[in-house]
Amino acid sequence: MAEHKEPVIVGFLCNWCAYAGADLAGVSRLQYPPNMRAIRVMCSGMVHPNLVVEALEKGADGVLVLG
Amino acid sequence: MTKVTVAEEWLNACAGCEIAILNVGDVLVDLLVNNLDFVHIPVILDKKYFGQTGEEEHLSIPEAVVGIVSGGVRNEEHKEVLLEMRKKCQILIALGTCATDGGIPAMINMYSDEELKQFYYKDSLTTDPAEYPTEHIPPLLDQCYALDELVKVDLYLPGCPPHPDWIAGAVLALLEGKTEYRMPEKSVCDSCPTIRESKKGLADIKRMLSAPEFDPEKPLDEMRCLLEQGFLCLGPVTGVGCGGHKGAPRCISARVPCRGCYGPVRKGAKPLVDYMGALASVGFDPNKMPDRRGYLARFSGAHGTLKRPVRR
Amino acid sequence: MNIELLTLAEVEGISGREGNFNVKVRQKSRIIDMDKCIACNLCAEKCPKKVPDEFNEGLDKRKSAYIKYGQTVPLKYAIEKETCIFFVKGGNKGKKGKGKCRACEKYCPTGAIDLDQDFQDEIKEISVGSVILTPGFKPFDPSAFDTYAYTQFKDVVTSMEYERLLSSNGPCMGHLTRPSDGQEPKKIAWLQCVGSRNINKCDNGYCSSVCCMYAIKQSMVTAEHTTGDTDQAIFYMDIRTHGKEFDKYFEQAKENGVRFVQSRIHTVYPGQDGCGVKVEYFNDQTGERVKEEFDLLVLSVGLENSKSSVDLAEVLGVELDKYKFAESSSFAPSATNVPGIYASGCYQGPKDIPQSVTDASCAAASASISLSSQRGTLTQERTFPPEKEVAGEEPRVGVFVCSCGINIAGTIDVNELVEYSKSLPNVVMVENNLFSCSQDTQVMLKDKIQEHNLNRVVVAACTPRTHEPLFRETMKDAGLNEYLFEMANIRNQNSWVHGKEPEKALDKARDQVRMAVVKASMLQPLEHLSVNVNQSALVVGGGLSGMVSALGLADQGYETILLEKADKLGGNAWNLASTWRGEQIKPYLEDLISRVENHSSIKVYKNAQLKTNKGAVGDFVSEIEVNGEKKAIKYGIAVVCTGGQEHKPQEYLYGQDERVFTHLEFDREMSEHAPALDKAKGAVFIQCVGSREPDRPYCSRVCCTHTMHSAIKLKKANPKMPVYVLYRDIRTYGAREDLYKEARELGVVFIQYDLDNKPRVSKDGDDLVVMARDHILYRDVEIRPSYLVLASAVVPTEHKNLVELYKCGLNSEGFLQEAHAKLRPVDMSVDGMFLAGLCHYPKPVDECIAQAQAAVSRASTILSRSVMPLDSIKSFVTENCDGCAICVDTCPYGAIGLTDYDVEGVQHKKIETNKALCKGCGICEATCPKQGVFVHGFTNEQLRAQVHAALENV
Repeated sequence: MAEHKEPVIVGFLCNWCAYAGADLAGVSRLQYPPNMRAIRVMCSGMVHPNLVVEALEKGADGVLVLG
Repeated sequence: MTKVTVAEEWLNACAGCEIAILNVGDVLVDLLVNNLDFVHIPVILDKKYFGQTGEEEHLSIPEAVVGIVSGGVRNEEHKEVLLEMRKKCQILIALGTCATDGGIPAMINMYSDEELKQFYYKDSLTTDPAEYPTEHIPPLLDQCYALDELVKVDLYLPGCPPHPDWIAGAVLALLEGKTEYRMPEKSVCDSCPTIRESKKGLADIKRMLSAPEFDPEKPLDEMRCLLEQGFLCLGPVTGVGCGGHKGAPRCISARVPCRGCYGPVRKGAKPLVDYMGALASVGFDPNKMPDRRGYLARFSGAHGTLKRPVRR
Repeated sequence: MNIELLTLAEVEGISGREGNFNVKVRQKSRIIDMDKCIACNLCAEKCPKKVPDEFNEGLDKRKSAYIKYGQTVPLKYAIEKETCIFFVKGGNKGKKGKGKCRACEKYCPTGAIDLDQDFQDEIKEISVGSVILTPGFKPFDPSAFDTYAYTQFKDVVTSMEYERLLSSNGPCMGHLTRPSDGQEPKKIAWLQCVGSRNINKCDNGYCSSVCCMYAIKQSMVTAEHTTGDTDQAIFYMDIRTHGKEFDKYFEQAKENGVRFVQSRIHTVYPGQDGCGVKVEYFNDQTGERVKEEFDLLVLSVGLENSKSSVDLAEVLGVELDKYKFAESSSFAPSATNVPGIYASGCYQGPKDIPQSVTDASCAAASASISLSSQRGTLTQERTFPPEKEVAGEEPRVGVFVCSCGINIAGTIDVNELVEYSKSLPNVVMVENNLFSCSQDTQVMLKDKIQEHNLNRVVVAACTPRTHEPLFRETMKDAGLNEYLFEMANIRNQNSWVHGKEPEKALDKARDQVRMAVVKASMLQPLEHLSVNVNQSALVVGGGLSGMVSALGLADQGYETILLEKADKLGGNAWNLASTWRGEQIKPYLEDLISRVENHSSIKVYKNAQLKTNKGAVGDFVSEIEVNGEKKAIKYGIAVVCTGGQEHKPQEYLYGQDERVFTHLEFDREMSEHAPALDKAKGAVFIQCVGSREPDRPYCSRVCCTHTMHSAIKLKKANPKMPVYVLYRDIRTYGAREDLYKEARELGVVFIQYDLDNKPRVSKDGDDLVVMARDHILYRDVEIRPSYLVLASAVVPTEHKNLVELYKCGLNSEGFLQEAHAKLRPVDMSVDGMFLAGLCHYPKPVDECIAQAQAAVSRASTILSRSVMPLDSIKSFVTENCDGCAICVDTCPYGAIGLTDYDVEGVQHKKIETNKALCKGCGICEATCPKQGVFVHGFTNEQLRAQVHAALENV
């Protein structure tokens, strides 16, 4: 096992705002840590609380719902 | 024709499930004549685990094709009996919500064994303080388990108690040579005929003991959904079946909200999260519910659903 | 596909006439080939020439090779010839290579830059039927105002500059600092009306309408861009928050501690050490002179037309008003003096976003009436081969990893990623492309799909938001359902943002591809949905807005039903004398009614009411009751124009004394008993009666202007008559400010009051006595007028019935809710429903007409086609649904209904979703406690699988 484990964050990104924002961060070359794994959703209101719980159960260090 | 042998055991249980077996009634009587042979059912037939005079060293349960176990697993004895049942029976049925999901006793999973002993033997107002007995009682496990946390379970028949329809259905299915029998994976709402209009305005929640609005002269399908009346009816997150194959839900027929005795709608479902998520969507503030966890997982505290709060 | 963008273009001339214009356009060269540019930013990165960034108000620098900002459309870079080193030094003229540099050309990975071409301006002749002018506005330049020391002190900035300072893509990345020393300002002042309501140092006598609101917004959001507490003060003359929900925002700002000082800063001195400013003004409560220091002074500059916009008017022969805005009339708000040429937005005068968007749709409607016979003749559509059946097949996923030149490959080891992708389940082929989006790659993609019999495709490249449509077209070209496609965003959300951590970027890319493959494997072909559109319309409400909508729809060629609950058309307009511009309403109204009643495509039902509604966009079915008889109607869209009424006051002796009037009653009194004006002892107007009160916390928008109109009329009829206006803030926005000025010049006396000190009205014998506290004298003033006119609120019609029928939304004051306050001001959240007029918010005649015409334009986007394609990403009901109906109320589009069904004699329930109404937002999916409803392409299982894939190595 590695001594220092990189935290993994699962992100649910609304297609219309947060996902677009993440794209724009790219266009603007803003640098941020590479720990988030984005899942695109059509609305942050689509994210069932169970998905958040499940991500944490499966070992995510954090969950972001952005929208 | 040879009869199918059946062994029945009760663990952390109240015997309600066994009464449900008897409530299968005429069908059971008919089956007992030609088809079924209960070789072991300590609730009804005397049985000594270690030989008639206690001469044997190991727990013994006769071999059987079908094993039925009610109750969850709370102590070492339950565990030993369960393991023996699994060993001796080809098909193992978990009967009742205690066996499938922990049931009422699994609410203890919110507390440690030490807290339990402290409360029941010392702190409880109606108790004369006493020491926890150390002899002649099996040691407790760390929590209350559902059967399938310790052994493989082939058939699940939840309910508190299970409706005889499903017990009969399962037995008949097995006799027909089927190896699978599944309860429908729908919620109590599927069998509930009450009127649904709008779930808005749920912000105002009524206590369980207050009476809903209904006309006792009128049938259930002319009463408004109890959730819509402001009661935290657990129907939407509870498995269907308390009314049997075709009947309406029992509690709701008695004009009281569902308390969730059939456990989750399907294996792996999280009624606690599901219910809070759903109610939050219609504007209910989850913080308004006292003892949220105990209320929503009253019958399904096993499988790690109810845990001791992490003390920080 | 049906909009052609001509960027870097200017209109040089126009000939012809309405229906057949010939427009001469000069288009400058972008230098960069649009077809090849992939917006990778390399040219800008390598370009050595820095120039002030005009988008950031010159507060920082950009390169000569640039895009103006990240969201530009089209997202293609350009080279500015005027500053580019290569072109400044002579370009490619004469001896080759005379212009040096060529860095962009050298580094461009796609060969989009070839500096050896001949870059001439291109002259285009465009043949069109109508022209719409929307050149926008220019913020006022305060350099001429020496009192505000804008050019002297660095920490005096314009509101536009401040906006950029706050912006996360502005010069200080959204962490507010002041220009002088780069420190965070802790105390900020705004000065309103700089370059507006001013004919002293400039000629802008009008109110710019938007500055109060933007200053309040800036003060409110400043907290998000600073640390700790900031002190904010807004120096104003009148706060003009007359838009929908605006006044509540103003109250919110006061609660948040923003200081509103009704005083003008008259002098600005330098702050300590050359930072910040010291300002001098008179305290609005005590009248004392105050000196106060601020870290930053923001000048809330007004809006005006730029010189090039004025020149454009000259080229086209369009007349401008005295403030150099395009002349328009209340009854044809988007028309100019030249038939066939229309204008919208701030070219016509200062406007906020909702009004600009409304006016834009209004102009589109007006411009398309003359073209309606030719509708659809120039539109283009693509055709595709029949779709292959893949439903039962095992997934065969093809993964295409894009290098994007070096945009991805420069950070992420694409070879490694390709090898990794080959190891994933269901993946049968993996390829690396230099540019996955290029035209030749599309051909290759199609071949690979056929060669490997792929039934799912993953492209690991840039963002689906820009490129998914392209690849979906390719899927269709290859005979696959377009929804069997998934992208892994390894550029915008990986290589571009993790450039310094290539190892971790590769790890992330692996996860991204794995998540995409897992999802792709679970994707199912989706049905192409459409609705047959009943190309006819229903308009509810036969007032001005309703009639304009109906007439507009009918003129566009659609059969239209107009419902009016009363026995005659016209509604409130019968009570109005003239518009704020002075145009007489009655003749217009009579003409409008006769055109509506005689139009062959309009069916008018009076004494009619809507009873039921079934169906959805494109296909509504309703029952109406006309004169007590029921009747079924069918329509594709509906425009709701149910109007509003004048509030009947319950204060100021209204209803108890015949000398107390509302505005509309007083208009009638003036026209019926005009001679009495001569003998009148005086008139008092009380503003905000029933508006801007806790019970009705909105501004009724029209009353200040109405009061000016009436007051001027009184003064003109009898100059000796004393006329008083008791007001809170005068809100004569735009050029209506001229009326305020005229009233003051005619001697109307204005006395300000506030909610704690409202005027008192009583009777003394026969006299009507109005007591008010003068805000300058600080003494009570007694007035004994002959007329007391109450500027009473506009209240909405009762909408309960409509809300029930269509599930449309109301705001807390009972006005109908639009789909988006700024961007969709005439659409309702229910598809196929539009709104106009007072049912939306109080507004004057010209704005009602504009909104009604805008509704026509919005409705045409649905009615113009007989079949309306729908997106396939919709909710669907699974077998788990058992009708608990919790989701029904959570659907914001009213797309979910409950239905009964029978199994072996037992009744069960489940929900049904309406595909036309559903927008695929999935709130139902997140609500359902039993997985009974999902959204295609985003099912709970698919999202779960992605979660699991993301965490596979944890």
